[in-house]
Parts: sequence; structure tokens; C-alpha cells
Amino acid sequence: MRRYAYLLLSCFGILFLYFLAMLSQPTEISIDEIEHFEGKRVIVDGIVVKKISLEESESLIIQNGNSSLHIFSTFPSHTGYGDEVKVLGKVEKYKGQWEVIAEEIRIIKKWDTKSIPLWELAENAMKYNGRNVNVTGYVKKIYSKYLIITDEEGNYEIKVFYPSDYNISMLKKNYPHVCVKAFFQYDEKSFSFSLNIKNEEHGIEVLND
Amino acid sequence: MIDLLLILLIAALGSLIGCMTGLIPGLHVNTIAILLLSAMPFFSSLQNASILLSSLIVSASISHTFLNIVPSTFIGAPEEDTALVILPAHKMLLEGNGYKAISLSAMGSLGAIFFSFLILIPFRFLLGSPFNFYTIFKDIIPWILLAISIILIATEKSLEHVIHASAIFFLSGIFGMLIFNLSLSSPIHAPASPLFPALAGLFGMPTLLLSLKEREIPPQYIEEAEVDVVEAGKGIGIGTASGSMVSILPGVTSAVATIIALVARGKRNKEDTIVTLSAVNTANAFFVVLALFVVERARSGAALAIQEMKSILKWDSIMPPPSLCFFLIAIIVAGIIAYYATKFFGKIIAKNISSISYPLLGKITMVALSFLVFIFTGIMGICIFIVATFIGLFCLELRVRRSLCMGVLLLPILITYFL
Repeated sequence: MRRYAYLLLSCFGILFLYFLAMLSQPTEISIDEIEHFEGKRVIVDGIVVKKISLEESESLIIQNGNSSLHIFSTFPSHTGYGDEVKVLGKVEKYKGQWEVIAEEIRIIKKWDTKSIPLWELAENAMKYNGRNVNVTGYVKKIYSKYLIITDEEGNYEIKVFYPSDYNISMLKKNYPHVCVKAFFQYDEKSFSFSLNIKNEEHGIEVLND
Repeated sequence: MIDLLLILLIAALGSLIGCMTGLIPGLHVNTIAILLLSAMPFFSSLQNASILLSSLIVSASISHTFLNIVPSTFIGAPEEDTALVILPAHKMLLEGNGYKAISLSAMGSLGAIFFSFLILIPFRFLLGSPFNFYTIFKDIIPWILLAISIILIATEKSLEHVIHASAIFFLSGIFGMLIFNLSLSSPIHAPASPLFPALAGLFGMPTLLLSLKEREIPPQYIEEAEVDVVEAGKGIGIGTASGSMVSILPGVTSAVATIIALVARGKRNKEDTIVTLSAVNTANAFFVVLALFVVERARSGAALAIQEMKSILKWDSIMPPPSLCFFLIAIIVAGIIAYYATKFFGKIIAKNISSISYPLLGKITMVALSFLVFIFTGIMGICIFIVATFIGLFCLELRVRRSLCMGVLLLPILITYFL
């Protein structure tokens, strides 16, 4: 008889803990509030601006407005620079800096789902610096290592660096309207911003207007 | 060059800290490591502060694994790595052999240090270059854990017991999956782990409740255990191997190593079990430090604190890096001091425990354990503690192996690995 009592009490106890776990769902906070949540589970969102993949872990920096936050994950997040993510994890202090030990990283919006006009990139260069971007424009000139794209009015232009083995033959006809998926970064040597085709996610696509 | 005398002094101090944390249930050496890490800026003006504080943490973590048998035996308050040792140790206490249990545990831990030194070089070459078994090993561990879970359940004495064992394993496992989703906060702002109330409830409290039926604790014999050297050697060897094996794995704690050792050792008497499980804990603390240098991974709170204090030079030649040599010296010092301290405290408590009314002591202990759970894990910890106690009592009623309650750790790990 007693064993059934213990079984019932155990099951009720587990159900009660389940209910408590539901109630103690993590709070959704902004990066600025992080210091008030040490040791707590939180949900925080931002845009991936840095990613270092190690053998067994991943280190991300996400940014929201002017604030940034370090995310440590023991699993691959499959995120890219510029992806908008929601991170669920525990807030801890590491080497004097706040970080979130991720339990789950959900991609809210991939960086390439929305294309940005060239003027927006030019006027908000710092915001997009260090991110993957999807930009539309017109091919103006093609050189051996880079090409230049410009907007419709010709007010803005930017260099797009491509690898030596990248096929640009389709761009040589009539200087087409293109969509460039590339990494946007500041080059200290030339004091200028540029777009860089660096990996398989990047590329140039001709738009059929 | 760091003065050898200074290292010895620091190791002795660390060892005393480890003795203190080992004697107080719920106070983990990781907490001290984190405190020392926070205090690091105050010591930065000292020469070689990082190596000295790291040695302090290393010696504290080693001596902690010796002393934590004392509260486990006398008051049944377990830590993650002593949960399974409570049962044989408590039985020995009721037979008047509480001191013998303590003495055997101290011997197991000291033996583990000796064995760990013996396999130091093979460990380095097997897991580091040129063999690099670390990667292969990491891939097979989920299968080892799965096999252990099956063995734990399937080797019960009858079909009815196998069904009961499965029920306990899965009940504990579901409970384990839930508790890691709860936010615990300690009223004294100590780092709160759900494992303390869970294990205290699964293993400690049912033992205490059961022992209330005992009239008194018999007078304790203060005599050294007669040891079968071969059997003890086997136990220490298996314990050291299990402890070293899990020290390099992410997410697998020394509690899992105790289960591996218990299964590998087979059906043994109480004395052998205590020696084996104590060896596991000390060997695990030893190899967690070594793993920092061989696979460059921190696998415990203490190791993480060391990694943050000091840049670790990978051990990739035959000779260990200088800082590892200092840590090894600290381990030897801590082992010797902790061995005698364990026996000293064990003797004092064993001599006096029979003069106390056991039901009263049991009640006081239960209140103290509940208080510690509250202090370190808050109200949520108390909820976990109560539910765990019911599961532990259910396991006792079904008369199946208590180690099945380790499903609390095994099932969540298996699910993480396989799903």
C-alpha cells in the first residue's frame, strides 16, 4: 500500500515541478538589462556580429542597438554574420564580462532574407559593419579582383571583392541589375567600406527586371 | 622561480580549505574556487599569484574528495559523487564500523592518487598526441552510458524487479530532466545547483528516515580496516580508471563515473564498494586538473577557475609543463594531509556518536539537511528535495538497487547525446 502512496506522491511531485518549470520560464530582456539577471535564465535577442567556432563550442557576439553581448554555446548555432537571433540561456560573468551560456539559439531572420538598398547601407555603414548583407545595385565596372556596384541614380557606389575563381562571366553583359550577398566590412588600409564574397553563402545573382 | 616551501605552504592551506568544504554538506569546493577567482585582482600585485592561487584550488579540490565521506557516513548527506557511497557506509555505521568505513574511504582516495601518478604518462599519450583517443572516446561514451543504464536495470533479480527498476530509472530520469529547467536561487547568493537537493532527497533523506527506526547507533569500533590488498588494489584501479575516463568528457560528472565503476566492479561487499567509489572521486578531481593540460578543456568549476586565473601551457612533450609540476606537488601534499584529517575527524565523530540518541540525531540531521538545502538552493530547492525524497522512498519500498536513482543524471545525458 505504502509503495502506491510513494508512487502517487512522486508523480504528483513531478507534475508540480513541471508546473513550476512552466511558471519559471525565462524572462525576455534587452542586452542593457543583463547585469540584473546574473545566474538567471533569460531570452535575449540581437544580430550576430561576430562568430568564432571552436572544436566543441561556439562563441558569438550579438548586437542590439549600441549594446553587444557575448554568447557561449556548446553546440553549433548554424548562424551567420547578420542573422537576427533569439538566445535562451543562463547569464554569467566571464573574465569580467557578461555572457549568456546558451541552451537554445533560434534564428529569427536570416541575414539574406531582406535586401537593403545601397543608400541605406551607405548611410548606416557602422550599423552594418561586420555583418553579412544582401544589397541590390547595378554593376558599374569590373576589375580583376573586384567590381563596383552603384545605385540607380549613381549617387552611391561600393567595391565588391570576389575570389579569383569566382565566375563573373554573366555580369559582363550589359552591366546588369544584381543582388549581392556578401560580408560588409571596413578596410583600414584603404579607409573605405567594401563588400566581400568569402564563403558559399555569398554570391552575386543577376536580377531579371 | 617559485619557492618550493611556498608551494608546500599553499598546498597545505588549500588542503585545510578542502577539509572544511568536505565536512560541510552542500558547500562545494567550486564555490571557494569562484570566490578565489573573484578575489584574484586583490592578489595581482603578488609575484606568481596565479600559480599560487591555482595550486590552492587544486589542493582544496583533492582534499575535499577525502573529507566528504565524513558527513555522508555519519549524517547521510550526500554530494553528487558520494551519493552511492552513503548506503554501504551507513550500513557499516549501524554495525559499529563507521570509522572503518571512513578509514577505507581515505585509503581508497589515497590509493587513487598513487594509481593516478602511475597512469599519468599513459593518460597523456593516449589522450594527447600521438594517439589522440580523446575524439574517439568522446563518441563512444554515450553508448557506454546506455549500456550501463541497461545493465543497471536488466541485472535485477527477477522480471518483477526489472519492471520496478525501469520505473525507478525513468521516474528519476524524468525528474532529472525537469530540475535542470528550474531557476534556483540561494538566499545567500551561493551558486545553486539542483543536484544537491535532488541527491540529498534521493539518497540521503530516505536513509535518514529509515534509520529513525533504528534504536541507537551502536558504539563504534575504532580500529583500522583489515584490507585484502589485491581486492583493494582492483577496486582502486577500476575507480581510478573510471574517474580518469569521465574527467575529460563534457557533461559527464564524477557521479556517472561512480556508476561505471560500480558496474565494472560487479557484486562486491560494502568495504570494496567504499574503496572503489572513493577512488573514483579523488581520481576524477586529479584528472580534471590533468585534462586542462592534455586536452585543454576545463571539466569542473575548479578547473574553470584555474583556466581563468592562469594561461595553461599544453603538455605535448614527455616532461610535464612547470605549472603542472607545481599542481602535482600540491596534490601529493593535499593527499597526505587529507588522508590523516579524514581519519582524525572520522575518529572524533565515531567516538562520540553513540553517546547521542540516534532518533534525535536523525531528526536534527534531517532538519540540518533541509536547512542546508534551503540555504544553498532556496524554496525551489526544497521542492526538489521533497519530490526526490518520495522517489527515494519509492525505490526503497520496491527493494531495487538504489543506484537506479542515478537515472536522474543518466537519462538527461542520454537524451542530450542521442536526441
